[in-house]
Amino acid sequence: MSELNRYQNPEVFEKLAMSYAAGTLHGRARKRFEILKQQHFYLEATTSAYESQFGNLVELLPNEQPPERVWNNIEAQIMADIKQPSTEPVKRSWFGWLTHSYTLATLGLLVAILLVVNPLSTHKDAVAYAAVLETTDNTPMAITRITHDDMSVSIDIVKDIPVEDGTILKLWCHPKKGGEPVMMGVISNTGRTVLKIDAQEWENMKTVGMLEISAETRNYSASQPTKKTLLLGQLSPISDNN
Amino acid sequence: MEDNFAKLLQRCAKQDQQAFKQLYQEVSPKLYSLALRLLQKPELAEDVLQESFIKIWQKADTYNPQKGKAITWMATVTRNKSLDKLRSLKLKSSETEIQYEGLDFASDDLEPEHQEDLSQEMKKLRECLKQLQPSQRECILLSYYYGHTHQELSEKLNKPLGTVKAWIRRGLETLKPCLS
Repeated sequence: MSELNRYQNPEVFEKLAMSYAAGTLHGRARKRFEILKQQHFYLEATTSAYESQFGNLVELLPNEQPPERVWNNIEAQIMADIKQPSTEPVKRSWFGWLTHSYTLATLGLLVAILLVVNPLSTHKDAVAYAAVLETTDNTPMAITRITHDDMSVSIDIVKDIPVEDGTILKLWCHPKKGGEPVMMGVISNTGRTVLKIDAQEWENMKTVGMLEISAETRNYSASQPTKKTLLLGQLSPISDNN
Repeated sequence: MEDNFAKLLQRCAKQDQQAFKQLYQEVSPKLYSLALRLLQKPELAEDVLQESFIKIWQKADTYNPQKGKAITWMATVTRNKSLDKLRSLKLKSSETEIQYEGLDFASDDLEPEHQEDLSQEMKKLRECLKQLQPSQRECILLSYYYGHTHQELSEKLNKPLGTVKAWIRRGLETLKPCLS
């Protein structure tokens, strides 16, 4: 198993994320993990969740009053920053913009990291689309990204989805204006599935509102979900603001 | 429970300096305490505290209350800055004069009035930590508060490296379902 695949295995990356957040991952392993988590949303999201839990440990620490000069230095620095606002235009990659924008989101934990709803997107061509698919009780379970760069739909299952024997999972696109959903393909109930799309399918993404993952009976040919809707999520365009 | 620090952070995101000062006054003693334990040197801890609060001011708009409490976000900022400092200076805690050590503050028999001050999240975490064997808990807490490596823990606790690694691994395995 390649290193990248190892880190895409939830069993592996969750342990690493936990170890990182608890402070028990050291040296080169820690450094390597930091690089990987910058590249992979799900690593960042999982690590962030554990950091948030272990961060509570700070409550147990006794208070230690820092010297007055620390505040004086901080105050001087922020005052200097305020007096000299940067004249450089803000340049952000769309990933950078994503980091900034998730503060606006009021979705769940993973949504905050992964999903961007760009209010300018109607004026710009999307370079990608993203959706976090949630259960009916709003638990984020899967992350879907559709990228123009490699013309693919990737579905990362954050927590394994239990499926009954003889059942498969299918990904569906629901048009914004209503009507019949379109089946994108069969996906795995664990890890990552990548589905290739063509230029026409990419164009059609503009018209897609919701994504759905349903459980279907194997070998049953159907043009729309026939069994049970497991996950739903709003597909949102991401524009390159550069 | 209402997160007052989150409200202050939200005001900081709008460049409210008064809110920032109040936040500093209320939170800095805890964050300085954390930096002191990780770095062991007050001058380094002061640098890190300063850098952390500059970052908190600049990045306040990226704090997302959906992801966790404001104090844990700020603790993560400070802890990561401290570890970066340790790494950049190639400092090893075993080579530093120890000024801060021990886990008395995290003992199970906290004063009752202190227990009342703890958040629900911390109380839950304490319950999870109680499920661990004392040696497992000690290793994980020493790693978190003091940044000790496995090797350093092995020397400090006078136990074989493999034993320390196993304690940590099993400790995290036990914690995982509880935290999930």
